[in-house]
Amino acid sequence: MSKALEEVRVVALGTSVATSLTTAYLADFGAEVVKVEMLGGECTGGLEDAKAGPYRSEWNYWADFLDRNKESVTLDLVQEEGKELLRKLAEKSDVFCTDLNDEALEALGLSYGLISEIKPEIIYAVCSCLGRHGPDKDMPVVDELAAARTGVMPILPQPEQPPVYYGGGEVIAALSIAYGVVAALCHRDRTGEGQRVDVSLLGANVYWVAYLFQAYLGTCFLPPDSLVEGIFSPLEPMWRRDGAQPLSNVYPTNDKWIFMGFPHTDLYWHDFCQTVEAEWLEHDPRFENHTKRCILENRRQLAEILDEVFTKRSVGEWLERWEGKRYRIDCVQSPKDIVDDEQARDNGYILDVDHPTYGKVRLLWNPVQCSKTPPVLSSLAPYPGQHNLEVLVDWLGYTSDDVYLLRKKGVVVP
Amino acid sequence: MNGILQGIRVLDITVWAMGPVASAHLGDLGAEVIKIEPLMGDGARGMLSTRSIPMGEWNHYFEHGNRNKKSMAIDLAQDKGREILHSLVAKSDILVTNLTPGALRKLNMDYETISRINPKMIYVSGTGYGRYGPMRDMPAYDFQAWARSGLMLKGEPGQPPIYAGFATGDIITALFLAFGALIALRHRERTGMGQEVNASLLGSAMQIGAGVLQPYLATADDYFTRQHSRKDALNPLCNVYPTKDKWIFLCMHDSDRFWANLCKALALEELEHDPRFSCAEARMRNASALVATLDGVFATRSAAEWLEECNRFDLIISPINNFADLASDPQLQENPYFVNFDHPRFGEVRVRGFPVEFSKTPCSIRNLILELGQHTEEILTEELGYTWDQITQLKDARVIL
Repeated sequence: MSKALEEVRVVALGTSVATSLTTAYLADFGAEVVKVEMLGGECTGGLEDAKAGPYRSEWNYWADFLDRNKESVTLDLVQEEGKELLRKLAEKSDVFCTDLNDEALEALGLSYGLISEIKPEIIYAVCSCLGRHGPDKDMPVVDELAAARTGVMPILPQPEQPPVYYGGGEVIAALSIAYGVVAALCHRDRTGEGQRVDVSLLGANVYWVAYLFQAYLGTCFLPPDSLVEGIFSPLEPMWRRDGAQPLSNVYPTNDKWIFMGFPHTDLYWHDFCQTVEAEWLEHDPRFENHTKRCILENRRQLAEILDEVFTKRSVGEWLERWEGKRYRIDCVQSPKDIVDDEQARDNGYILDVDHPTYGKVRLLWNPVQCSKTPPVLSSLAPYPGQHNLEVLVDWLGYTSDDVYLLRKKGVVVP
Repeated sequence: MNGILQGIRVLDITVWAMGPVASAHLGDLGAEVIKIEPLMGDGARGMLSTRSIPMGEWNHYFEHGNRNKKSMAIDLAQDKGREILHSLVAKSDILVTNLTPGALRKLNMDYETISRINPKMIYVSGTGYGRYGPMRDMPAYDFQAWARSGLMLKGEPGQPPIYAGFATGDIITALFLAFGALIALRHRERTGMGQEVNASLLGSAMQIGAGVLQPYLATADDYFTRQHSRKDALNPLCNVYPTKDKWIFLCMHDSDRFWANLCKALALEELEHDPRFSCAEARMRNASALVATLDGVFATRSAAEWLEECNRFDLIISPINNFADLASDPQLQENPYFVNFDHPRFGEVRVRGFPVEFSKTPCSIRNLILELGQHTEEILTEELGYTWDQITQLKDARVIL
């Protein structure tokens, strides 16, 4: 198997999950990623939570998930020599990836303006919280902040419930950066031109809900009486039973929930009524065809009836009855179910790994499958500074004596 | 200005959201994207509503998913239709599809067939549950794969499972597909080799759920298999709180750093050294007591007042906005996530933009409207050398519109 990003050198300088994960994605496809750990730098925000309560584990799984396939260099960025080393590494890189703000980058002599002057072909990728531009461009890179601004939190739950933080913005940001970096690499391959690539947690969160927000923006083109307040408003949460299409919704069973979704509901309506043992529904004038089923009052009533019908049996029993049908139901699973799910296993979405210290462990893996250049796990997370010697020799042509001196001065650790 | 993918041709055999948005990303980067639709058109053209919000006259669902494309209406079930497609395959770089592998095989559009015609082809396939496994041929709505992924158990205990929102699963998978396409494209530019790229709704959903799935894989702790109340938040400084008007979000992961200042901002100085709350570990153990206390305090003033007070103490906090707030948020105006476009029918509209900003080769929306089969004749004549006689015959036989 070949590696798509084989000769690409990346320097990762940041503390956010987005920066770590995006550079992991690049490393998965063969890039050489040097994670620069800043001595005495800020602790990695959300990972603090990872050491407590249910998150506690001997195995530092966050490190292995976020920093797989990377090299680590630890520099003392308080010392001038440390800053200089960092700049030299950045100048030797193809891709510089960071979530530090303008001020911090200026202080390190690493602004895009400076670096691109020395190395115009560099691809300089920045992750911010709320965007490169605008009055709040320097907010700390925290996904919850971006999610709060995205506007979807109040409408995720049922009415009268607290707004819900879904999580996942950082993964989307990581994906966006990786996508942007590879696009910029394609451009550079053709033209020799580098550039700056900007992504933000707000952009990632807004991307995620783009269809919904687009629908909100589209409402200004609707005649005024189409928006019935409290039911159709994209600013308010919606009752589950008010869902537009009663055969596309979540329903409770007597143990777990199911999510049902059918295309062509008229085609399957007869079979459905038989399967749920509610034959009487089939010709009920409120529900006998798709159009009638979608009328507001009818769909509420149908949803109430289906709640009762589905709660008569367990999800296992329903799935058995549904075997072989062309319209389907899915169990709303928990992580316990998915980690041993056949589809997850057959597709390698979870990797079984032999950890040198902890034996058999499982890692959530890169979900992009490529027949010739698949993502590959070559190594687990490095320990801080593990590759100081290697990288300084390889990238900067230092000798081991040079590195010894730098270690003595505490510029690199160890 | 030329886009990054100028000169790259993408064949788009996609429907609804996941597939179309994947190839739209490539079009945004400047590729020529030819959407091949059945004679009835992509079903998305008839979309009536989004989350019970009626579509009205402007089918933005179809338009923002299919911007920057050309359209050919071809009946691929007929030999002559497939002939057209195969001729195009020979002259294209990337094929993007979200039809099921079974449907693709029936139409002679599986990877084996396509790569025989054009070994350099990058074949990008988006599915519900992954390239392998017993469900590899099953179609899926994104919420079905989402339900399976273990992610929907959010919200207060006992509440219905929460789907992240209309087409959220689709749109994320679309970006994974576009990313995979670019990886393969770069590889091909350097080696001449094409390949097959896959991403699925299920795989993408699981990745989004890393924050829950990876800890569960490591600890097997039951905690991750249940819904949890905000009243028991493990870190009360990273939690939502109701105020007199709007809800706010305290977003301080590193709670030890901010605890003293929070106490000052809320005039709760006596709590600062209270052994129940003085460090992160203690606050986790006594979370319900602390959340209840904070609930009581936050309820006394408005969100704006709390924001002002908390900002004085450098706390990380935000109001919890709705879409109306987002629409007027200067961060949205100044960054390209949603952009203004001069729509030929509706005038100035705001439409989904780009998740990435490029300084030298910005993305652009060149056209939003796409009529069914708008470019069939143009492409048949100019690219494939069909004569007008041949075109008439194809129309008579209902191979094309």
